[in-house]
Amino acid sequence: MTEQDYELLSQYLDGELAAPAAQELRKRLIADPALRESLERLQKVNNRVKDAFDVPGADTVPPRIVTILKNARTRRGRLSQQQRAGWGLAVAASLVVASGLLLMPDWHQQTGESLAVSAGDDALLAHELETSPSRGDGWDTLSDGRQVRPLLSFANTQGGWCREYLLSEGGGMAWHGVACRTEGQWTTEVLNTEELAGSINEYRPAGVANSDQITSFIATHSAGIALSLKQEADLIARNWQ
Amino acid sequence: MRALSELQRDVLLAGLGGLRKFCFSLTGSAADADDLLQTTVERVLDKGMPEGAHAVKWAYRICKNAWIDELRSRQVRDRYPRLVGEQWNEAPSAEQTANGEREIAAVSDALEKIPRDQRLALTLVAMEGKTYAEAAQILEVPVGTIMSRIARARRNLLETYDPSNENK
Repeated sequence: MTEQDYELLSQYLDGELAAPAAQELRKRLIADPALRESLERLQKVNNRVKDAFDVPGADTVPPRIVTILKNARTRRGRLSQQQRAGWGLAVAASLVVASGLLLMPDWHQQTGESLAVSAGDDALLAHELETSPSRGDGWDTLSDGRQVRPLLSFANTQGGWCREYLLSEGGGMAWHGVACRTEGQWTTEVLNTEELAGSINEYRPAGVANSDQITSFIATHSAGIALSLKQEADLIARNWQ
Repeated sequence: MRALSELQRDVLLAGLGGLRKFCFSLTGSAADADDLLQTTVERVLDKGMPEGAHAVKWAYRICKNAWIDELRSRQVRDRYPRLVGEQWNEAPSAEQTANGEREIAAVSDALEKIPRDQRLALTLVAMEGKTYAEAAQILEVPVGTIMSRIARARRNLLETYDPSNENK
């Protein structure tokens, strides 16, 4: 077997040999048992190499990596539609406490610096989270004029359900939070503010570092990737049971 | 060349599974594959890519470079057949796992012994199903070079690995 023969056989195996050359090789294979045996051995080793790594889960991407990519800024410098429907958005953490207290009087301190507000005390928001599907753009208008956009839903590690959302009261800012459903009540577990850039349909992060708050929360508490719209619709139909 | 376009990001998201498999083929370990994939994605996001670049092909190239860097900076080879079953969604049986680990270990050992460039070419074509032209693009070499590297890789593999001896 010459080096050239190995190259021919290798190309033949990969379907990269031009038709006339392949025809010529087939003739040689019929006439030359040693060459035929070499091809069989190459084929066997090739299959072993291929099969060895073709195992269940080999193409399973960890959710954290999907999150990193989905959170990425795109070239236009704005969050894309998919990002808006995706994990986390950058926000201004420094505004959280000051503005949050004004908007939501039910803040209470949890461990460390994490804050929680009961979305259950905001019946309109809770109803929206309970009944409305996630969307990549546009807003649902609540009866008091506020606008809400559920962004996505995911299972948390406690076996419950959580939803990421935006809540706008106008004035160029929007709340960006994640609420989780416990015993039938939606409780906002993390909440930040976000600056709307120009129109209500555009917003930009106030600081990349702050996006980590919601991203980290989701990465820490999610049991997997976000639900598909169909999975989410089924859950809404079953009252999240 | 900063950042990605939305299209590139979406294409890359869709291709992450294949890229993860490529990482697994290179590292032979689920944990190392995840690390390599994350490094790849972070590098892509950090460096960006040209506007007209195909996101997945570009990411394969970044991944290849990251893997080479990893090999240079750490003795990954020593950790090689640690392997499998670390986080599969479908848990294989104990016997399947044992056979799978042995198979991967045997193939990995053989792959370890062939030159890195040959291994990369073989991985892309034989495991990932890339054409010679695609592999050439990713590895930034002429198609003829890919052809030679793959043939030599297979020939070298046959010298250290006898497929008929495995229990598969």
